[in-house]
Amino acid sequence: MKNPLDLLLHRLDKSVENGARMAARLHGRRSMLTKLGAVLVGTVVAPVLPFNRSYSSAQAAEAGADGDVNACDYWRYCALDGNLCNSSGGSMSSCPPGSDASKVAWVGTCHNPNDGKDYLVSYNDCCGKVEMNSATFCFGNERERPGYRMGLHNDINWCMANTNKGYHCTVAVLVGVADE
Amino acid sequence: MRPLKKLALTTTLGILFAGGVQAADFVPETLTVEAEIKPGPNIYVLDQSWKGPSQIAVYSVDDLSGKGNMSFGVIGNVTFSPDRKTAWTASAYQSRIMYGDMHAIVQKFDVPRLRPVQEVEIPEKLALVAPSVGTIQLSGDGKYLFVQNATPATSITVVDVAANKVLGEVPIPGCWGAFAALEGSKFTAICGNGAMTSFSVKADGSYTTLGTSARIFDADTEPLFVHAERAGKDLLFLSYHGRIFRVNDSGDTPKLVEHFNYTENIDGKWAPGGVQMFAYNAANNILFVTMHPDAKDGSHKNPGHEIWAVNLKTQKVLYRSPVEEVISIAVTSGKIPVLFGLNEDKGSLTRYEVDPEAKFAAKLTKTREGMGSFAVFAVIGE
Repeated sequence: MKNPLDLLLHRLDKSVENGARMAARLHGRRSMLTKLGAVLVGTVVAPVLPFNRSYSSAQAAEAGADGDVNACDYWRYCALDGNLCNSSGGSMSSCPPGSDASKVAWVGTCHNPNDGKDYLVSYNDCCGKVEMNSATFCFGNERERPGYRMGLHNDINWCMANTNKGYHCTVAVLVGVADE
Repeated sequence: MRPLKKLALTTTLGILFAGGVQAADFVPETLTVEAEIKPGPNIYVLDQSWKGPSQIAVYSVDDLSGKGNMSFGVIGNVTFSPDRKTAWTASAYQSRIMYGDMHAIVQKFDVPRLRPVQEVEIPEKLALVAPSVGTIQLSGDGKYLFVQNATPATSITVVDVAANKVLGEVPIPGCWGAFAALEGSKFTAICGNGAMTSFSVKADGSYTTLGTSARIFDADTEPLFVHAERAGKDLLFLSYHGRIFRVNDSGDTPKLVEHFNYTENIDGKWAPGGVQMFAYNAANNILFVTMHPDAKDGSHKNPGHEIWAVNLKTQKVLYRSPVEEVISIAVTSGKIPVLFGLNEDKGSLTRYEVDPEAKFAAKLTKTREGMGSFAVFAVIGE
């Protein structure tokens, strides 16, 4: 049995091309906002992750029927400013065919009203092709910050570290449960 | 060639041949190219495209008539010389537009002629980011361009304007933006720890970290927008909650001069929001701000339902003008200001005449649609 960190990273390996790893900074304050100086950066593994990496809880929440995943007010999209990949041939955690998953991402903390927990959501962009004209565009900005808090910034093209930088759509991958 | 085009060409040739038998007094027109844009003050509207060429469209300040445009690459940003005769854009060119080899290019435009006149390739770490003033700026002495990078680690590429070459790079870890000082080759960046740091560059490509301020704002509880306006020797910044910060950047270390919140004691949970959400009119010392009601966490990009005129001397709101979903504004500098707004959803540019005798109330005088799908940034040239 792998430990939760290994399971999480294994899951990231599967869901994010090139094996994204989470780098996060602990700011030492209680609020998750301050704890999320996190930027998902390929090949970087942070020694300390500032949240409860409860793989089973995250997995259970993802699988549950907890809202309309095609609607912008779905809880997981609280900081998603972009096109939903599940309206472009992908899903909440998979990029559409023919696109590349971004190597880096911004992170949101979203409240799931169904179980009362706050989840960490990695918003990876999918890259290398034009957006679908019919894609659902969402405008979630909770806890969003400008570029001086890059890990919380959603007005930038997160395909920045990829070879193919064209913006296609954005996924919302659950990567952990926030500390109480 | 499609059949319809063939038909059109045939028809055109037919008309040309037929011209020989037309009336003797007919004078054929001569095809020409306008040498320059029509005279008069302009507003330059950036429509930043994430899937094709970005463009800056030129409209008359007086009647919003179109004068032409300048086109460049994907996710482009722009800055102008003080006289607005030169523009520099920074944008992405991939070999297959959305994929392939990436070339980040700074292009220099002759604005009166609307033509690119020079370009230089910069490191591909160029930040592909929504428009804001701090992403590309010209140094106060006019010698250098400061261009924002993100890998996502942040830094500034320095371009030598005269030599048309990349001079160097200034790392600004944890910070964002290059807000150029009035003089010299210095800029200030906003940092996530609430401080601001000033840097200077030299002709040999080296840089100096001049100084870091004490904490000016709290990025957790009251973050700053990354928009700034120049007010004399100071820079004006604004928080998500409606607090204006006046920062003096003339010395080595940025210094907070004052801050105040102009929304206190006003009902309705009003807050600023948008992209280019405030504009400063120097002649009257008035700051115009796009404001939305019922503000909450995550509403900081919402367009304004009103534009507030804030007197920076008395720190009071003088007037609240209703507007329709204005996400960005720009204002002329004179005693009788003319204000402009951009509505992203409608792709429209609106013009307002402002009456200083009526507490700077803004009256809508003209609307022009067709600005584009992401036209959220404008610069005025008077």
